[in-house]
Amino acid sequence: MPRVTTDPQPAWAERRPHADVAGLVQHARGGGTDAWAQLYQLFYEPLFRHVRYLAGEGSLVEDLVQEVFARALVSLRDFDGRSSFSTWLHGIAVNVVRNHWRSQTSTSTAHDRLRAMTTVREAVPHVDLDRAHLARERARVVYAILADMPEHLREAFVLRDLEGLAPAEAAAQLGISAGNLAVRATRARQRIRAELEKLGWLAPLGEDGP
Amino acid sequence: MNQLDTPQHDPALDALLGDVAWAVDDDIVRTQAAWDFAAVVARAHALDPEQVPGDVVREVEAAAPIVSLAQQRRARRVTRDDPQFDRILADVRASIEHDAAVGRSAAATPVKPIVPATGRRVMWAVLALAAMLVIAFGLVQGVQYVQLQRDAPADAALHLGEPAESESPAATVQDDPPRARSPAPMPVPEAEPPLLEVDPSATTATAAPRRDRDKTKRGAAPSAPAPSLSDRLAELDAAAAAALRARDLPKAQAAFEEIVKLGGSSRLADLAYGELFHIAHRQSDAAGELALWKRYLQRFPEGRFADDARAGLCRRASGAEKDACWREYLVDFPRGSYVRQAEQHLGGGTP
Repeated sequence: MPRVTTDPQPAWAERRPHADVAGLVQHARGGGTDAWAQLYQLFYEPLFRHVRYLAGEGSLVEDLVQEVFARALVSLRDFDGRSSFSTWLHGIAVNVVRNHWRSQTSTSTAHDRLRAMTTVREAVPHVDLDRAHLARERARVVYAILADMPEHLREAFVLRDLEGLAPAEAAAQLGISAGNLAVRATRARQRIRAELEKLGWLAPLGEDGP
Repeated sequence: MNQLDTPQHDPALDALLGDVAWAVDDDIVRTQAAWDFAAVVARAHALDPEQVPGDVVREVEAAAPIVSLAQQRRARRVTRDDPQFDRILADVRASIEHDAAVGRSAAATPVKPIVPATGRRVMWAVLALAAMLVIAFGLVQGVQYVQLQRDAPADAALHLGEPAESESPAATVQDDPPRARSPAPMPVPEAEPPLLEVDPSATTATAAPRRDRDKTKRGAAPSAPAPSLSDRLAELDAAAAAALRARDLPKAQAAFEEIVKLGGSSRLADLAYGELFHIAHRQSDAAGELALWKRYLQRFPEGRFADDARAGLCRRASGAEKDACWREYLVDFPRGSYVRQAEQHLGGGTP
């Protein structure tokens, strides 16, 4: 699989006064635990956000983030610097979350998700949900739909449409081209729209209100 | 790429996905993540003992805990093609920021170590707003004063004895007796500077009966001391940030120390301690870290870094003192970030 060699530096890193990432990575590769500690400090929050978006629910995010850092720590010597450290770390996160998805797959959980979606949909027209509540219910529904979607579409969609990463950054994390990413994200959008229509959360295209 | 692979203009879907992203971001902001670098290293050791030997685990275990500093939380990008929905989201975000500001001001509640930069921005915004209100109030009173010279209404009593409304909530905390703590790692008492986040005298001055004011001081009324302290703290904070960017750690350290000195029990001083921890950590100043934790806990026994400082002291303790320290930690921070480590230690299960 061809690796994309873009090296986008996330905006937040530039704002961080201590963000000498390359130097820290170099020291960490030499076994400097202090450098690793600083990398942990620097990347914890963006990684937490990334994993939270991918995982879709919050209860296991801390454990998943811990696993990402642990795996990064033992495989830092494999980091070849062709992508940024951030992209590399976030790529590990994609793999860790992918494993998590696979461990979560079961008929019963899919059934529960569907039941939850139906319950919420039925409630929405009759109950004046406040905006925040509605947003959370919508999040549950979309993640439930994503749970039944092929991984490659799900990943592309989450990174691009939900987390809002730039195409080059999202593609680099997934190890695919930007064009391929766009195709996957668009297909995922189409499937999600179809499911949302089926469940009554969206009117068919062209029938939307103002 | 065929027609089906071209993104379709779909405002309704975008609006719904904007909701989803907002909900996730909101959850992230509300989540008090437990940072545990020692657990990461222990897990890495389990994955590959050759890459991460046991002595590294023990080294990290004994080292300072890692705390979150003023991390920028990126604002959610605007939802595409739906300005109406964007306005709703903006309202929601503003409401959340307001709630968060109120929550942060309730310093009596133990706060986790995440210190988003938005918090600092909100704090400065509150300080700036307070200063603006003082000035605006002064201007209004100036106008009223002219009228008073004409009408001389006997309304001064309305203003007599009014408490300073802008007194820092931290003042309430200071009045509360501190919780019982482990005697072993507790710090040497530190002289507590007065609470200065918003100078009550400034508010009192503007609320004082207008007719009692010394006419010779009228010209000086707009330059109340509260804005000058705010300005000084802002200046120090900017200087510290610039020094950090320039990697001039001693200069940054001096500026943060000054903020701590002037800031009393304010949130700004609380945050400055976090920066000082980080600087000491970067300078590998183990003794300095220890002293800082003690100073910090003396002033902020329930501050936003208290969890980390307590855990740091416990990690540095030894023998029976260490056991007692972790036991106390579990009592004081039953949902703390280092509960797992405390339990591991007390259960004899250090990794």
